[in-house]
Amino acid sequence: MNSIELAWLIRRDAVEMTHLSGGSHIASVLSMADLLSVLYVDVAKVDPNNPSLSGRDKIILSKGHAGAGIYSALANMGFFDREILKTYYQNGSILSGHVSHKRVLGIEFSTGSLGHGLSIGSGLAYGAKLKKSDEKVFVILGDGECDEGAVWEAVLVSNHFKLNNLIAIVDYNKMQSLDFVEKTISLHPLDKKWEYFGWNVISVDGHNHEKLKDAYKKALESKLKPTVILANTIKGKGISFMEKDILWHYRFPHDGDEYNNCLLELNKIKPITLRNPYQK
Amino acid sequence: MRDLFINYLLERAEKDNRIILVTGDLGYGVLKNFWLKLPNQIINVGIAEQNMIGFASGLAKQGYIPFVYSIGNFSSLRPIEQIRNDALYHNLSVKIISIGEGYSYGSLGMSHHATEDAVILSSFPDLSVITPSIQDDIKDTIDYCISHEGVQYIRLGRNTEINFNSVLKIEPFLNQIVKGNSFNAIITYGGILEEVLLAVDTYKLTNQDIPSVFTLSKSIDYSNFDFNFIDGYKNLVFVEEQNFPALLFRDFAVKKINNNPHTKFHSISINRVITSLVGDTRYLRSENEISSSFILKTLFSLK
Repeated sequence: MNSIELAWLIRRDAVEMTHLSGGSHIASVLSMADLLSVLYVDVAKVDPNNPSLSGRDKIILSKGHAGAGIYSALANMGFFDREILKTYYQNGSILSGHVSHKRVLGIEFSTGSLGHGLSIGSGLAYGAKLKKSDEKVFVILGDGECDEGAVWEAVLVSNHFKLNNLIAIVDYNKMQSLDFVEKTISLHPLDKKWEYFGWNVISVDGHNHEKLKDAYKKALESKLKPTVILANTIKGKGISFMEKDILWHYRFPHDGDEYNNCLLELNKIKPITLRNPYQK
Repeated sequence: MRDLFINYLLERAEKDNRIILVTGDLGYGVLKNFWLKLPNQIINVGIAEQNMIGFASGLAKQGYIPFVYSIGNFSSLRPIEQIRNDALYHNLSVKIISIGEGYSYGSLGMSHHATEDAVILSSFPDLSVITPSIQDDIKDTIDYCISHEGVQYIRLGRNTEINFNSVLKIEPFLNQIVKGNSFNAIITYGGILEEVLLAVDTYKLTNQDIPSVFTLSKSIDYSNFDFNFIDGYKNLVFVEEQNFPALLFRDFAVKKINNNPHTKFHSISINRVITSLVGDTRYLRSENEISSSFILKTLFSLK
């Protein structure tokens, strides 16, 4: 499977999972589908046949509300059966709305309260250096999440200890819960903020797979500093009526036109090499 | 107390490089020796306590045993969500030290008074709260923390010496300090033991009926704590440097309530678990036995 195929599957699964469950945050999953697929397919050293592989790279989804996205990525990579995705949110499922590690192969940490992931990542990265492991630690954050003070605590510490094996990726879709980021708590210029805190900063089109691969490659080459990839994305990317509309931070595609139009739009951009798992 | 603790921790750390001391920019003088002897096993993460616990969780996930060091409520209340979500829920071996239990830092003011921390943290399932009272407790605390997975919260006073000894060690963390001759007993923990013993010494000057004094320095594990040591006492006085209802009073009261011959108390509440079950509100209530059907069951069982 290539990253374009996985990104499509993540989007298609997100529609299905939120539709079936009534769960929120589809737009947050759609914006990160590309950066996540490139990470799993082309970058991270993980093994679906051996989720506990010693020295594996660690991926933390700090923006845990986009859990549907990482569940889809892992299922399609072969960590667990795709059939389990249908149970998302359901009574007795292992797939809770915010990402859970319990009994879900491939998930390193349960998250859901914003601002925790980068601290955990900094400890993982520091520990990796202590035991002389060459593993890398990837932490995916939301842009609104950068309001949290704990994020900047981790940013400071990671720079101080030169955690060059730590790569943060900000899904910079410019929107958060109630409004655009700049109208909520202004982060601009976000790149300068990270840079002045001592990090390498790579700004990239978060939907261009080749540019994402280059960004990850450059991040992995860092010798002295942690790196943040500011992935410029569009919230709701891939489904035109969801793009840049706060409503879809919360709303799920309802039966009827909403759901059907999601499928119509996604089917138009399905990679021709990919077999649609939803078509019998 | 804290010096003894750090010295023994250093001894253990010299033989076990999994032990990492993580400080939030505190411990001037106290940690100096540790720094000199084991510079690769101590790290200052600065004045950022939420990150400190998250960082320690990441370290623990990599196989290390981080002892996190701060004072007052800084290592407990400030990062309480990180303690719960990052360390405890993942059963990671993060050991949290707080120097200055109770009113140890008196004159510094309310921001430095740790008077609710023990009660609050003891409400978390599978988190032991340890407040050493006598010298023996120090070694028992560190040995326990290293040999047990998961999170322990350790509260220490600032005094450098402890002059009290046990007359009878009933089990680790449970000691008899004064063998009295009456039906009264005092149960306590931590630095306030000095107040208890001062009171008992004063009482002895004019009274013959001497109360026994026990220290119980680790929070109770309901599933296997033996309450028998209080059998026969008519009065139990719990002395705790915590806001009411304090830790031991609450726990023993629950036990007493359960055994009350005249009035039965029934609790329908979550049975000390941070659930990983997935489901809607009613499902989770049912799975955790607090739904209407369990309430009804209890109603039918009442006599």
